[in-house]
Amino acid sequence: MKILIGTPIHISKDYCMERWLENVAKLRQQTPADLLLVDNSPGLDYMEKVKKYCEKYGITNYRIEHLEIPQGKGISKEEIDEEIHERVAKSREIIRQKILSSNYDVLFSWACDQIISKNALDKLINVMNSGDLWVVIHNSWAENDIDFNFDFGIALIKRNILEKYGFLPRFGTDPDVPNNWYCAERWYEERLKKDGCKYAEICGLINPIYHLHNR
Amino acid sequence: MKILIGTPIHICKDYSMERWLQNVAKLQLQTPADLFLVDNSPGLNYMEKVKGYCAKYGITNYKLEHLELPPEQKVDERVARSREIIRKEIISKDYDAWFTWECDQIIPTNSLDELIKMMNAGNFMMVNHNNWIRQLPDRVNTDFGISLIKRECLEKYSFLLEFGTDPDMPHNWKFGEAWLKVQILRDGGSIVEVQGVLNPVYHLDNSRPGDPLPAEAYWDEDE
Repeated sequence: MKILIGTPIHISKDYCMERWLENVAKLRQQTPADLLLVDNSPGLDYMEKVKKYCEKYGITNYRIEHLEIPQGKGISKEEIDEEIHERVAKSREIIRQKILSSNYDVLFSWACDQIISKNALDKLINVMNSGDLWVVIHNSWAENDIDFNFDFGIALIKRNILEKYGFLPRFGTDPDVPNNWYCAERWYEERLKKDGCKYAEICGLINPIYHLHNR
Repeated sequence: MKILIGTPIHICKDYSMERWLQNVAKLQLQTPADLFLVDNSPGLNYMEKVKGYCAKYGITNYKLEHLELPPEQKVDERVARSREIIRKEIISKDYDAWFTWECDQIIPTNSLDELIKMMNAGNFMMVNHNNWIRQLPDRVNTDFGISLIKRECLEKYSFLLEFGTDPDMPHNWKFGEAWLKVQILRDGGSIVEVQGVLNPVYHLDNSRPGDPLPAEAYWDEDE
């Protein structure tokens, strides 16, 4: 099973980036997987900093791409959330295209603020294989550490799903599609369920999970 | 892994009982498991009918008990009290897991095999398969309609809610299943909620147009 760890990154997550890349390096020692980072920070500077982190932790086999996207215009919380979710969705679409254009079997979607045990990917693969599952999502806890969080923070997604469905919601093309970016990920999951997807949501398998925040 | 299929039954589910027992017989051929039915219908008559169904489908290795409950008791409490009897059976015998399979769910004969495989793959305490809301076949339903639960959880946690003893405990019987999941996770256990692996799942329904929807249809709003 050829796996791509695909992660959107942004300078706002610099508070956890170094720890996360150290975690990536350890996990890849146990479970080989390629790494694609899509930086959607403003400008190209942050990529250079990330490259240094990679060097520090011996990560050489990786690819980093930049996505320049208008940002910083939001004022209200809703507008800022919309910007963030649009950036993430568009970055994930680049990752999806990479999976499709290469011979990857699975996307390991792993948010850059989640610190997990180094056998986490192995465990998820085991579960995926046991039920011939197409999507396996692990609870990654909301940033308040109390509420469950089944977004794509820690998720394995098989290629067959990515071949059918993109991460960009095409507003207005489906009566159920939300008219905002904030709900795009939830809608993606709902669409998979409607499609009869073999789908699992897991709690407690990977333990501990540290969902880092900088408040 | 020694498994008990443990199911509360009631005369109101007679519309599905015969088909379900036929399904049980076929599943047991593929995956050996004992069967324990707890009838919480009013009176003893319905048990006789169920015994007739079992005989018809060649089910001989089973146990059927009756639980007489006040007629005004609501379905969620009836089910919880019936499950508590099943739990005691698991604990007092050498069962490794409980296959909780509601008597209105028709599933493929390899279902139990699939759930066991998944439980072993992640060493999960519970594997819970979506069984769709009975009257809303496109709505996910994650109650214990089709679940495999390890003995360890049942040794610790009861289905009888002692209201007020824990600040997180729900205040009614309706959320008893969700409460068990919370307890398992608080205790460091793991759970997987699955859908699409067992296919098809038929959640049989005898309601007529205009009948009220089942309670679970409103759970999101309640919560």
